[in-house]
Amino acid sequence: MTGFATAFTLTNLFWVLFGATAGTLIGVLPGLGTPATIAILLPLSVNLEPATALIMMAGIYYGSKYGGSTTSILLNIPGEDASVVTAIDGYQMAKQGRAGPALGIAAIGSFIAGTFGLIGLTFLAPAVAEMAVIFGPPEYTALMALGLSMVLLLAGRSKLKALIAALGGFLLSTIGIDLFSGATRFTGGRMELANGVEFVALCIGLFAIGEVMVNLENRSGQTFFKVPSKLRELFPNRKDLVASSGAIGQGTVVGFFVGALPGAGSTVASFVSYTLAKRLSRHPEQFGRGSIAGVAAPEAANNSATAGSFVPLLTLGIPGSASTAIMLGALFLYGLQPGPMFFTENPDVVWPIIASMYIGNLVLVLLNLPLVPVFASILRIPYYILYPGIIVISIVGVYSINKSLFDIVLLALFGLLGYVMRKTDFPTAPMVLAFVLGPLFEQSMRRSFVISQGDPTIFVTRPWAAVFLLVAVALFVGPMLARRRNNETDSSDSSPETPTEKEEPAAADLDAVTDEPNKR
Amino acid sequence: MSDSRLVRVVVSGILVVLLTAACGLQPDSGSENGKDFEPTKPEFLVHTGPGGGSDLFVRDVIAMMRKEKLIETNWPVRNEKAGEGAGAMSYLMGKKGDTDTISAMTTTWITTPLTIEGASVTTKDLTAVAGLINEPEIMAVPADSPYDSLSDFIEDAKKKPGKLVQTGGSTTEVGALNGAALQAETDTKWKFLSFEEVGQRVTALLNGDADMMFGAATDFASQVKAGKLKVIGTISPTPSPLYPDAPTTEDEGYETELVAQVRGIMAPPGMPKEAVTYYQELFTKLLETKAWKDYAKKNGLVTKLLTGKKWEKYLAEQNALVKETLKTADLGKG
Repeated sequence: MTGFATAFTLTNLFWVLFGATAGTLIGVLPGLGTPATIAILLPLSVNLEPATALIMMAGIYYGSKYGGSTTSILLNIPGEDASVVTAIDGYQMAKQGRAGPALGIAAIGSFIAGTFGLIGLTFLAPAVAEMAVIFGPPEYTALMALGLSMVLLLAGRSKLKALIAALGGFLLSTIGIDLFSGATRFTGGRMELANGVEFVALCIGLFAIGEVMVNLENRSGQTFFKVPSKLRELFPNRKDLVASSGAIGQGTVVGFFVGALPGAGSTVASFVSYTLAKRLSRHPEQFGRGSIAGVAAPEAANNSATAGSFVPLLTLGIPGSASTAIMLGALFLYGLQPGPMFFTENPDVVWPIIASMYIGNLVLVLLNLPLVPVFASILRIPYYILYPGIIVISIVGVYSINKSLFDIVLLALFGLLGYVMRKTDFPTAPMVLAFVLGPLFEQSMRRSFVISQGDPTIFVTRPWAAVFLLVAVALFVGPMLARRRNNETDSSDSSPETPTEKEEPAAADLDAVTDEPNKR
Repeated sequence: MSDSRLVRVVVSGILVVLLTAACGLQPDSGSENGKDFEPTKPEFLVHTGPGGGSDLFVRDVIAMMRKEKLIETNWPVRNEKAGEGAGAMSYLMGKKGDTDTISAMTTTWITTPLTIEGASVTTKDLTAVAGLINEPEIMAVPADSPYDSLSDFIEDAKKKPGKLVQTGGSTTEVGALNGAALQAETDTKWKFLSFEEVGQRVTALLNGDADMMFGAATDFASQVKAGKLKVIGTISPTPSPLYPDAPTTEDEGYETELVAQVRGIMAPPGMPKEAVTYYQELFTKLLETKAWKDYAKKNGLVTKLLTGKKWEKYLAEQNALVKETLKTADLGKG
């Protein structure tokens, strides 16, 4: 409670507001990432009290998760890494004239998950930290296998195309310096590729530029977005809230635990939560075509993951992400050392930070909800202005990360790839999923073999690893078996040529509803 | 889409590229006439992303220099993270004769040109401004580990060849190289478990996936304080200010010459003498401040100021040593 008293001082309230607003803005703009912003503001924090500085930084951190969804939903441009998944259904909703509810549920879902994540941080931190430590390479390998098995769930009509796209993403992820040998892989001697392909260039190229190119081809001249006219259409209705509630709940739990694992992060959390939401949904076929639960799940997860990432930082002194690493650096500057004794030794720092996060979450939802109609009105911009605008934002965003013209070339190449993939009906989401999870999978597997001296049974003898692997196998094989069983039932019920045809019209109908020229 | 719209799209794109490029071409302002030299548009380069070791170090240095009134403005930090230092080194090469850009360097700048394909710039090609610190590496093990010294670990490694696990960063980082050098000297073999993040390495130590780790004193400080890890040695000829009682490799009788974890300042080739002198004086003054001394003590750093020929000589020696150690570990280019 003394934490709240400190957090409620005028100075601290100001810095919460400042951090949250700055975070929202950097979340909205692609490129300038959360770690970079926190790092830029680090010198400013030297003149502040330790708790106040951390309060500001935390505000930026979770503010960016709120803002990140905005351009994902409106323009198919992920504002920051963890919002990539939000773009999948969010942008489809925007095209259907439902940008308002999508933005609204992103804010509401973020608020609920963020708050429950904080409750988790307040009461469960030491226990969760103990669990996070149990997670070694075999557990990560199994967890990543679980994530990768979800590629099929992100598939469009063809599972084979999804697998090919995923393989492409996996191969792209292998470019760069190999941590284990120190040698470069597939860089063609180009130093710009030594650290691998820039994730933001890949996502924005595949999603935003690819989309613009497809739409430019459509010479019909009609307005592409359905713009809502009534104010009540701008906010999620009861049905939306009901449809999203399960996804928000699940996203909160998944996000918190994945966020607490050092090295996993909110991007992985949002992917896992999205695919789990699809798996658990009664309408999985709507995912990828404008499902509101498909927006709620990743948004809840990435905000809850933010709270989760403070668990190892504050209780073990282990930063789980670049942003928390900078916060750790800031604490060092003050002579504070987070670790197992931090809560008991520095309650005057820890509790105000946590208390301020509750306030910050409230500030963010109050800040973001009134902005929904303002943001949604962006879609009123005629597309011949909107599309150049998207290209401009994409280029500036990608350039601002490394100030590298090479990244803009990559952006153009991935834009072209995104275009070709849409034209040939290859889904882009599995490619991004494999790009994110692939390296974690590869590295964890190699580490597991180092630990086990080459013995593969390590994946089944360690209980958590075995559980995740079992679920992964079930997820991978389950849909195939279900499909076969359905086909067998169908073929016994009807004429031999009907089964395949039976599935296609359903998808085609949905495409007609979404007015989508090319399906994901 | 009509052709005119296509033109609009293309023109907008070109405008953006030009605008962003123009941002880097603003004319200098506020040039000094009264003093010998002062940077007009200073830029502090680092080879890691925001939150990386060098990035945090440089931001701390700038904050200390401002606090001590050695500089007036907040110098911007530029992150050139491509290729483990190779990108930053190439960037400096491209700034030939520039007086406003300086960069923080670490031992990575010596290792990278020897290990990464396409990394051709070496420290010899650049202007060596000053060496600032050595960071003694600490050897830590879980608190319940049977090892109480480096010798205990090596004795056990002899009994279980190839079984024990050291954790650390990439296989060419200082800890890995020194591990390889010690294995060669003692005719032992153990495994190396690479993790990108320090947090993951410490976790591996805590959950028993790894038996020991060489790292910076601050990597373990909180865990040591909480009694979860213990420090059993210093993998350096100089003791750690944070753990002065931990015996060095020399104390324990090992003769291997170890690669040092150094931090220093480099500048573009051909930087005019007056600019080099300005930066050398600036860092010399910084290293004398109380703020620096406190910082070094808190972070377990050993201040080791080297300028001019001494710094160049030290870099050349370290370069030869890294080359030799890479050969021992069967790593490196070609």
